[in-house]
Amino acid sequence: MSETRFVADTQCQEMLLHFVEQRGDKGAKLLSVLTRYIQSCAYRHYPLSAEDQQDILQEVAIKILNHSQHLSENCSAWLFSIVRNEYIDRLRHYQTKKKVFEPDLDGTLVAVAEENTLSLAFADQDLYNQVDCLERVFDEIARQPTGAADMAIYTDYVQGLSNSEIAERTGRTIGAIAKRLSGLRDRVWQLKQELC
Amino acid sequence: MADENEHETEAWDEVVSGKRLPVAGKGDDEEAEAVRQVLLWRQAREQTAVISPEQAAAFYQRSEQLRRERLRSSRGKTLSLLVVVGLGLLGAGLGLGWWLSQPTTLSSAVSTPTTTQPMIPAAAPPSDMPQMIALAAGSFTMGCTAGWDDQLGGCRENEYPAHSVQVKGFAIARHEITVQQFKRFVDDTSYVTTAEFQQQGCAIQDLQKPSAWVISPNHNWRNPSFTQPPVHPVVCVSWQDAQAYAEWLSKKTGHSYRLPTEAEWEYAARGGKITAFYWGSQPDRNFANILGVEGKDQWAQTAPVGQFAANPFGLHDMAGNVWEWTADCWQQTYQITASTQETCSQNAFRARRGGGWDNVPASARSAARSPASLLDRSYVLGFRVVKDLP
Repeated sequence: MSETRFVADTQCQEMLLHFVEQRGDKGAKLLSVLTRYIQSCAYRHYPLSAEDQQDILQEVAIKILNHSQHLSENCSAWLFSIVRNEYIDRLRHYQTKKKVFEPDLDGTLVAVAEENTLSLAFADQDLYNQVDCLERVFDEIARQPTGAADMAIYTDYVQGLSNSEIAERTGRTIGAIAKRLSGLRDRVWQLKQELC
Repeated sequence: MADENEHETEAWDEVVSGKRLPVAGKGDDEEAEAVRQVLLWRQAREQTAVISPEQAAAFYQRSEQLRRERLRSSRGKTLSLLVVVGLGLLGAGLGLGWWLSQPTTLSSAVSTPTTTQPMIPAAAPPSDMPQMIALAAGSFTMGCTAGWDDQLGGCRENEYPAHSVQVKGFAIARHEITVQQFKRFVDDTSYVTTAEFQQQGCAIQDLQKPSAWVISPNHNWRNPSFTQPPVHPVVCVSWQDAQAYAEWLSKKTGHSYRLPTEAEWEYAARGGKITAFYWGSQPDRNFANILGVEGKDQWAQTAPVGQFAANPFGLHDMAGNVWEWTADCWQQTYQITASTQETCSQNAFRARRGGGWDNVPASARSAARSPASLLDRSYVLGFRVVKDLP
């Protein structure tokens, strides 16, 4: 494990312990991180009400209290996995209620198989390994001389900002932003081969 | 080959940037979604705290209390389960002994009917009568909530202020009233709609000047200027026509049918979600028939009802397809006072909701509203009914 990963994990564990042992900031940083991530999930593809988001936070907190003592390493990936799984469980609960109709030859609507209105593509993977690997990839990118700027661009991009909006925020040209983003996929792929 | 690679990268970018949903089981999409989620996760970690230590401590207390309650409850359940299993084994042993002592006979299988009721009635194809879904009483935030409903370039003045509303339980039609359903009513009553009466016509867009609307005497619900199979939502019906349908349905069934109030309509449309659309904050033609043809929305005018996935309450087309009449008089804002309520006369404008097939996405938001007079009828305007629960 690289030094950066070790530091990140140490910070993560500290954040967890502050909550579990009710010391330091008493878990404020942890709850802020979880709240922001849950909100960002709800923003676009995974809509859930504010009440549902609160429930998810509550369930995650209980899981943390139940299991934190067994955590030795990969704190961030573990944390991400439990919050993500909790979110997906909630979505599945809603999905079970959805039905879709299609007209038959007479034009009468007939119930067909359940349709997923919400993609759960990321639900059934090995979250733990996937996240840990990608964390290493982005740690490596962040370590490069232009890493901080690149990460800021990538983060804006995943939040749905257009190239022109990112250009305005970062003071670069639209062309420069497009160039940075066009290489993201290859860069991630290459680093995954090297680091994971 | 280069084209294929470019296409793959484009598809990957769409998922990473949140423009498209990932497809489950598709490797590239899943990888892109993982990248997107990890970047969001990292960003959440790097933000400065928004929760104070005192709030965190209070949250901890609540979580710890809940955790302990659940532990106690699960221990109790485990004990009960052990007792039940023990008694069961004892009973089974006694039963087996009794059975072995009996002469051999053919045993009959006895099934115990399940007592679990589905949350939503089993779906049946809409016939010529509307299929109703019962919604439990509840409260929700009606109108434009900052940070949620206004993510698509803001809300209209008439959507403010957001306010908490409680609604009683009611049943609402799973789909917009279809041509087939409206035809049954007309066949049964010989009803003449506003558009048909003395060929008053229906409002359609002027083919010569698409931005303008004209009342076309030749058009009505039977012929709204485009082909409508029986499962399309009926259009070119006025508020009065919709009222007449609800009255007929009430007499026919012995139940009390009517148009939904605005609050009932929005409660049903949101399906428990605070976001601008029930599926999220951004428009998506995979979920609604609105202006343009893209994704799952392949209809230039009305779509057959139920073509898009239902909202969490099991209702279809609460966004797009056709505007839907509500029972309520139009109010310019939600700042309603007793005096303004009195101005709601028989001739006042009525509110319509949901947006139609010719609308931009913003008009199909759950909070979006629009007024129309009692006798207005157009090829984007239909309705659905609600039923009072006993």
